Amino acid sequence: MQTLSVCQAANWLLIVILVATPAVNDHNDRQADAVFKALSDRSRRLLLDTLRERNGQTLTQLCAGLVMARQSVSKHLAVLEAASLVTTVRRGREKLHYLNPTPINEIAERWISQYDEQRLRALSDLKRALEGET
Amino acid sequence: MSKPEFVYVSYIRTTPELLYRALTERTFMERYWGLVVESDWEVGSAITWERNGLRHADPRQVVLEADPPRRLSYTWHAITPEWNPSLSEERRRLAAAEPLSHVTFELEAHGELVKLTVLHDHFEPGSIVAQMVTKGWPIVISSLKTLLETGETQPATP
Repeated sequence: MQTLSVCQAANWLLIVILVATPAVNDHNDRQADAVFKALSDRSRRLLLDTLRERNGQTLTQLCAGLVMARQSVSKHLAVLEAASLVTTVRRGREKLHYLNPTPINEIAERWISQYDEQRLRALSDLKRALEGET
Repeated sequence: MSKPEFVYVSYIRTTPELLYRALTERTFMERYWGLVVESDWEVGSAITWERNGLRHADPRQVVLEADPPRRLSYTWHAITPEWNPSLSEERRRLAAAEPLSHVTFELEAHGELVKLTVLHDHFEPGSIVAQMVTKGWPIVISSLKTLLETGETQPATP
């Protein structure tokens, strides 16, 4: 009898897991994979910093501000674009690159509740103040 | 064409039709945005912003483009002491003197997903409003995505 209820419990758990993991999480997890992979490289993080300082740059403009070969910048941008961390807009003959922080926010929201977020923001403000940035 | 200041992209598992409704209908906006941008969404029509019972109208607030379910563009709201109480007086005076910026939504079906692109442009150099909106958009877009994908708080069809 007891074994049966354990089996039942296991079945229920399986059902709960299957129902609670709809296809909707699939593409979000694939995107998370791409985001973490893209962010795991120092040069790519530097590229995002450069766009944060000045959004909407061409490849040539980005290369001018970095000590990186044009080919490397282009390769890193492709990885960032695949992760949606960089998005591009065409203006005439120019292709402009923009920092897209939305996927990072989506990852943060997955684990950080609104309440914690406010506390964490206060902590990171404090950290910035102590480290002398603005 | 002017260069956009911000371009935000999110892939949402929904349909362009439902996403367009979420961008234009009160029941959706109240849930993911906490405010309502109200209009009949015809090109040239007026827009009223509403938050916590406070209604905010200005003759410059208009619909610029409406091509459901592909594209929607409108002017941003005007800056007033009532609508932006947390701005310091000095910054509010400068922000209120800026021409209204434009926000554009582009919806593009990608298989089972919709690529939502939010472009915000027509800012003056050094714009205070630009600094204000840049923090807000990623939060609003994530919230919209969660609402449409989980459906947990999705409102009943009116």
